[in-house]
Amino acid sequence: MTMDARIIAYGAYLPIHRLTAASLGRKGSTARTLAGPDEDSLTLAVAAARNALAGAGNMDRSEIDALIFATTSAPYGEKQGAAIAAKTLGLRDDVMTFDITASTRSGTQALHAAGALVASGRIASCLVIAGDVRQMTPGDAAELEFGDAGAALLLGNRGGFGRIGVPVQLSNEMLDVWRGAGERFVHGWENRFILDHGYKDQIGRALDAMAKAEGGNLQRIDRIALYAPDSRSLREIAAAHHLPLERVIGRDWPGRIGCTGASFALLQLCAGLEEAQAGERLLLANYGDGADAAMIELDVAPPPPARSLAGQEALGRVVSHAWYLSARQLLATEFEPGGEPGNSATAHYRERDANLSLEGQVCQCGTHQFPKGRICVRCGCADHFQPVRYADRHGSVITYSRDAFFPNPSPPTVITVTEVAGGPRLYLQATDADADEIGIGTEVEFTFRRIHQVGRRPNYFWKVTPVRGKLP
Amino acid sequence: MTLRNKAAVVGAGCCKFGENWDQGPEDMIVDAVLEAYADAGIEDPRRQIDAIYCGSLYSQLGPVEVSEALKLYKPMTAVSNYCATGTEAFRAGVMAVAAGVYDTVLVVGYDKPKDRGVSGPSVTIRGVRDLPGTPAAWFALCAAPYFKKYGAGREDLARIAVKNHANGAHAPKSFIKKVVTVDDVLKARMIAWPFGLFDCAGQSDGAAAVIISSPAHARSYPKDPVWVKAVASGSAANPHTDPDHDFLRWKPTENAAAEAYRMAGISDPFRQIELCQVHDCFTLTELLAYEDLGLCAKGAAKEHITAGTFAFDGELPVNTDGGLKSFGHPTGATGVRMLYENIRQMRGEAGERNLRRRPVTALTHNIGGFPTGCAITILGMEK
Repeated sequence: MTMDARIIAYGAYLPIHRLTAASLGRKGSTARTLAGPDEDSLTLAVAAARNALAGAGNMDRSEIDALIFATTSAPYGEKQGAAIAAKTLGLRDDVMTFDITASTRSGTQALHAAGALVASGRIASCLVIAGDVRQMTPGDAAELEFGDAGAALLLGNRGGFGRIGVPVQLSNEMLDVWRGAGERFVHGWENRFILDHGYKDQIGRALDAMAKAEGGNLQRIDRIALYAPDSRSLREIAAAHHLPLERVIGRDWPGRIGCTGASFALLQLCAGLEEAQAGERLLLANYGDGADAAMIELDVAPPPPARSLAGQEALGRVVSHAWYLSARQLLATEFEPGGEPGNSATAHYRERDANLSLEGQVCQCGTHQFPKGRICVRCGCADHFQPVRYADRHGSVITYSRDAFFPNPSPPTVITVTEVAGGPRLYLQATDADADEIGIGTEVEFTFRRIHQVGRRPNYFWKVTPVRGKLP
Repeated sequence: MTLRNKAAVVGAGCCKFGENWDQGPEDMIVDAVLEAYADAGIEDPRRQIDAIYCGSLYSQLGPVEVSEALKLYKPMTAVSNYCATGTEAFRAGVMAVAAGVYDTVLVVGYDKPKDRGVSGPSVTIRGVRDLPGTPAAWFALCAAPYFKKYGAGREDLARIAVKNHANGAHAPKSFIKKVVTVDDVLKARMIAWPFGLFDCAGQSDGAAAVIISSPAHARSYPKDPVWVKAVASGSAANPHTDPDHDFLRWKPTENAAAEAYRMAGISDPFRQIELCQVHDCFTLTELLAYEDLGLCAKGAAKEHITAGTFAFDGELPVNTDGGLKSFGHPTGATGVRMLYENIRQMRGEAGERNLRRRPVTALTHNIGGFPTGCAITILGMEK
């Protein structure tokens, strides 16, 4: 007996930075989302997951049985992003983790794999997180077509607010969009060829199959999450298949947010869920090395988001061309990064709870301490501690400075001593904030970031960012 | 326990501090130690020196760098405690003499940061947790709370820079000989708020040395012995994670000062101490030292800065040679360089720079880490 694949929680994340046509000295008003120098596909996905879990009332994470990370830009070639995310999010040790990569369709592939898993009854819940930071060659006209974002959905076989139907799946082999192993920039073949024989053909077939199952057309669909590489392709596919364009979620995102790769269709779905009512039916269609499409039926209204996409979009800050090139490491550097081994893997192993989960400890005397130690800083007793995860609390800035010397695309780097509400003091950099936004008493929250890339790999830790109020 | 009058300094030397492109550590060590030998009238160090105590934060080789430079093969010990390293080497030497293990020891502090190819501190990327800022930023962490509570500001810090630059302009062995105005200091480029360029110590190479003798032998050297009244070290919880820090003070200084004053029998430091060399790695570090050393009340530094209390000709001169501002901060050398200046002033050997009133009791102060450690010496001319 199969069970339902149901949506329990959803969350989206847009980085704060925006690259615009003006940033690049080009004409027009096009903008796109841009990950900062301390963000990558994994941090975007983790941020979306934290928004999803916050939207579900910070549910008990020990109930999550599996986590799938979807991206085309995994931080490691060999080493799982999902395992890093599971530790960062404080999931159980016996959680199932895997990555689905290499295709812009990996977001929905992860969602449908999760759906199959929970529907099988083997596991009760699965968190799907997607994030992508795809890089087009600097100077390419399409540089503004990409965007960077994260999206996350928690699926389960009971509860929640909606059911995901069995998807249509198509696989298609062609060289339309690709990036070779070890390459940085995404390639594409001639646009008319790849759109006609790739995107439009495959998405078209998937939509036809869905229409057939619907009894001939898709007119009864309330909202449509439909992957599109650009706005023109979206308009053309909608017209060809008689899709009401006004129901396509994020139909104007090309030129505003950009095509965010593996997270794009899930980001559209999240945006749709933010506004959807009980009884609505949503179509989710995605493209990449084939296509997939599935129907989502909401039996109750989804809960409001912890942070709305509109609110996150409104926070956007436009960066300069020089900032973009520096942040994305597109400039020549004086020295090539060395082949040094980087931070000790054994130290990383010992400190992963602290560094990834932001886990400290509370002494029996009530004193909180981070990082963990064997002796209490206040009462001096040994080994009477309970672990505490601080990542989801707020904090208050005790003091700060603005370091113009620390390497940063736009100095100064704001450094803080921050006191966690009911917790310890932490020594952390601030991010996504101008220097004058941080002062004594500023309320901040914690955000998971890539601190540096010594050893040619991401080294993750936490920073603070001002609490910007409950987003609309 | 006390170290009071259990050892005396009988000789001191100091090399020229600066961007010593044409000198390696060996040259600087030899320059400083030869001056100390001459000062103490030591003609046969292989017979007259019993042990060597070295302080260097960046040395790759450790104490071998000193023994090979001097070709002096004696029991050797390397000491390290961040920016208090030089004073800690002195403390180790004093304790060895006070314990009666050796009659005469050589203390050498040195560092050679200018071989690294950067004009400021190098940003070492290691680990993920302890990275947020460079030293200027973590020493600046008291600024916002202190300014807020006591109404001080960048101008007060600037006056400290102006004083130390003026003092350093006349010191023969200083690195930076540049007189600056308050306006120059305020308009300089920012390093880490509230510190502009002139609020920060220079980066230089240097070495300094002292020779310590037991009380039984101290009077056999040509010059009057300079008696150790106290050498104390203090530490405190890392301010970055200390749950109780108010960021109005640096606790290691308070802790070390309490111990030093107890040892030296000082109850009113402002009246009983006549000269101080304090750790001005940044101007605010000096301001806090005035208060944390008990030279004035907490919050009162601003008034004293305005009144010139700590100026060269003030009631209690501080950093008469220009301090770290003018000498730079070759870490291991700094604490020993401070002793050198105090000894010159106490003996009246600073020439045109001699203080009007020759000091009898003088203090040095080093603070380092985050800051987490402090070492203080008090020397006196009278036993």
